[in-house]
Amino acid sequence: MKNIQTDATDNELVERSKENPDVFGELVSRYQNRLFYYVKRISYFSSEDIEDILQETFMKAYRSLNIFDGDLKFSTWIYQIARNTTIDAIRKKQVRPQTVCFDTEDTVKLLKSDINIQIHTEAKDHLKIIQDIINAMPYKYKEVMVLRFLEEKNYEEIMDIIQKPKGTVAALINRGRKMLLDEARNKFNINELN
Amino acid sequence: MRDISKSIVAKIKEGHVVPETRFKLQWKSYLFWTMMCVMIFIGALSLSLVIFNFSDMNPGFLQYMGLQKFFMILFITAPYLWMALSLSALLFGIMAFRKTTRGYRRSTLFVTSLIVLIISILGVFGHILKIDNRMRGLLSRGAPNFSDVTNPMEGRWQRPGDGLIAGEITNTEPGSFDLKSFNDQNWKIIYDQKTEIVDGTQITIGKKVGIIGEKTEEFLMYAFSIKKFPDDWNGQPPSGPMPPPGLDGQFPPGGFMPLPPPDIRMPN
Repeated sequence: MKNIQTDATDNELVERSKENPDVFGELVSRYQNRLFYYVKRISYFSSEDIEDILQETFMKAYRSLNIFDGDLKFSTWIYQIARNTTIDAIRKKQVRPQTVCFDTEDTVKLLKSDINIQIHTEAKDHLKIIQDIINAMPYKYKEVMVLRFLEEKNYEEIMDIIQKPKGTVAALINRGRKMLLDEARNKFNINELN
Repeated sequence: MRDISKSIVAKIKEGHVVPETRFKLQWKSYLFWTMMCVMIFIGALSLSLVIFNFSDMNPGFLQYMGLQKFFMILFITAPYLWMALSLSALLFGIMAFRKTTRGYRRSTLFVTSLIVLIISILGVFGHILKIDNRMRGLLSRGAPNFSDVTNPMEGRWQRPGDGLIAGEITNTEPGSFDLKSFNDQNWKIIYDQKTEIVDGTQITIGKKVGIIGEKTEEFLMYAFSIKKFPDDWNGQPPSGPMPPPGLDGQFPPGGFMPLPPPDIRMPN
């Protein structure tokens, strides 16, 4: 039984979960870690708070299984619920996320698609500056950049997760990237970044 | 992080949580779809009333009025209520579409274009099917005091100073007819061979017509052009007795009245 569930696709598990909540546990296992890091990256919450957010996310997902119709990938759908739950939690605390939790690897990932940042930021303090730049970016840009470069979602998936038109998503990513590079140029006083 | 799958499954079982019905989960989306449809309907109806209120004017009048006066009259007597309602319906339609489950997927330009297209098609159909005319009739009976706002077309044709007058023909004579305007004034209208008769308008008693001309004296106007109103305003056939034999009021397709009899007398 365990193997059958492990090999099953997300959509098959969703169908079975409607009849048997135990099957839903497999879906939770598949996504809990990914969602944990995603929520961590887009919020400033502690691990305990994030765990609460994930509990709520999965409970909402379970209650809403009947509207999951395969129009979206399950991963996109669950990211969408996690994002909305996180935003609700932020609103409840009435504070926009000021400092998000990027580690050094995250920071390099955010930049690697365009530039070889490691050439310019070999020292750790440089990466710290980059992290500060990212933290200072408006939330809407930070959010899409996390999804694109850290979660490695494509434009359609990001569109469905943040529920904005594809053109808006593309514009946000481009502006966010430009903002990051411009700030990096100013901070490091270098011209090679492009 | 610790594995939360077991605790979630336990929570589901303990709380007897079950997946909710599709309707319960999506009722808001259905509501917004319904709202969008209602907005499109209202927008189309308003647009057809806009078309109706402009249908009496055609660019051919430019030769009598001049460009400036033509646009000034259009501007002053535009159906602003229906235009505003139409635009509001478009705006709320877009907002309602945005709130549907997958409404975010389409760009604002696409949604706007789509709703504008649907409203335009339905609005034109509404006008062709004369739904706007029936609506105007209902509004005239239901809210007669607001006709200036709901039907500015009538006001447009009560501007004799600008050369526009309209009303119902009460008497016909060779070369002239009496007209009772919509604000109950009695006018004598003079016409001749030079007068343009738009779309073969019949000069018969009971017929409602609009005149573009020149006010020569108090309650006397020389007509440059005579036109009928859309479906006689209320879709009713013209009433009243037929004109005298030989002058059946029907102008030839060329648009000009046959030569008037020699004993025609122009009013002073």
